[in-house]
Amino acid sequence: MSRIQRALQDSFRRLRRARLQPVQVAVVDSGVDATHPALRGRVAAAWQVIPGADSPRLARVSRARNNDSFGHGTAVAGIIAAIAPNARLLDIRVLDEHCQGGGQALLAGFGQAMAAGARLINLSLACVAEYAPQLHDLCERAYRRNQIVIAARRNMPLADNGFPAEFSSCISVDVMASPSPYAIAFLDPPPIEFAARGENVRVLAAGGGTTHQTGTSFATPAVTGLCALLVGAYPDLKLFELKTLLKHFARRPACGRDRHSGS
Amino acid sequence: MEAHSRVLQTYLGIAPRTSEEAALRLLVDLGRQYADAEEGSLLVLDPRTNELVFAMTSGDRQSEKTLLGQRVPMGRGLVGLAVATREVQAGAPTFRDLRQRKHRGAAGSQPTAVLAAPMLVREEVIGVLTAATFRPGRHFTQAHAAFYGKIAAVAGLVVDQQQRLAAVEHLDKGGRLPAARTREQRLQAEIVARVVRLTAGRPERLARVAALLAAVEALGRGPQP
Repeated sequence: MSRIQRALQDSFRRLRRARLQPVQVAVVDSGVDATHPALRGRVAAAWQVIPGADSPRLARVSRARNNDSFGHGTAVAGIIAAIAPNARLLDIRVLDEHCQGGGQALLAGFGQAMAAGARLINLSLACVAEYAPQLHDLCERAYRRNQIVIAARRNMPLADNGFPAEFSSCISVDVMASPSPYAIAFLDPPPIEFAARGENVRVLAAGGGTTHQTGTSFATPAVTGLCALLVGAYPDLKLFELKTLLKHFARRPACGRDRHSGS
Repeated sequence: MEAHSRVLQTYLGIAPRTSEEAALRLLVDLGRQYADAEEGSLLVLDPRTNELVFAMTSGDRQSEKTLLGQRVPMGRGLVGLAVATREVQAGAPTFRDLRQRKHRGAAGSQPTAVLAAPMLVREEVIGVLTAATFRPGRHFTQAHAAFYGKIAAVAGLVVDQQQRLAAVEHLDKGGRLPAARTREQRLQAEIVARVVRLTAGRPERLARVAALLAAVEALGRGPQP
């Protein structure tokens, strides 16, 4: 490990030990198991999508229950909570009782995250291009309200990287292999600007215990956690300032890395 | 007809012993070998019951006997998550803790890592390609996930092209279009059916219809600089 890498980790670790402001972080996902011992007391509020005749709506649910049937959201929330002790999680489940979601549900969940006043919005789910215009509007509104959107690149990008990760008004995240949860890389050219640890990550499992997962879904909350540390230390940070700081802390990706295969 | 052929024909419209069936088999084998997995499989979606049905397996003859035709409820696990998110999912099946995971992996009855890539046709999930390993400590990498995403896209394209070809051939014989699954597919089918009716026995109209559609497309683009 290079000296720079050690310094990068030291910096985030120092922040982690510092006195930080609480930061509300929305996890728009498959729900969160708030009964998991590692997440006890960390979920501040929870909602679940309810299918509607015209469009889905969100209903408030208990913040002290297992709201996750797939385990995806619990894994994501666990990564954020482990990196940022100051993160107050808002669980926004965008899968209905049949575990079905879709673009409309994601849009509704995104809107709920903004309405709930989340400072950071973690989207480890990506939408297809059909929903790009509505997502673009939401990201622009979030930018103006200084609500930071951190979005995952699709694991199988063919025609595009997935939305909203394509937009410059959010922090978009790819995956890399790294032993450190604090390691990030700056990717150039855009639209996907950062990569973080997301390969074979030990994560919390819904129902208790841990498991291992791979993908951009699990790299994204690592960046969200780092942003929560920075925003906790410097509460007025804007999106462009956060990106600048992340770039400063980042190391260059390994030479010859294929951004499109992740290998 | 073999079990897997029946499943493929029923849910995807892929006839047995065709080049399309061979292409799907090739992709299942290719993915399994690339990911160095003991088992690979193709599951197709039964939209009526919201279940996935094993249509092809690769790597383990015993699994072929026991899995083909088996149904999997979509609401749970990595395969279900791949369908719900339309994304490749890779990881260990969810166990309560690592000791249990190790124990069950060593027993060989449960996979230690699973990879699931959705097959999409015009953004609708029609099935899932999976890989599974049973070796303790083994995991699939992001490179494996990306590769599976690509071959699942090709598999989706094979099915899509076959379904479009079958629909056109069916129409050519004076038949009706097969039932569409989504509103978008119904509208597309309606447009195709109208064009077919309009030009039935009047091939000279085809050029005029094509010109008309081109003009509508240009209108939709608005004025060009």
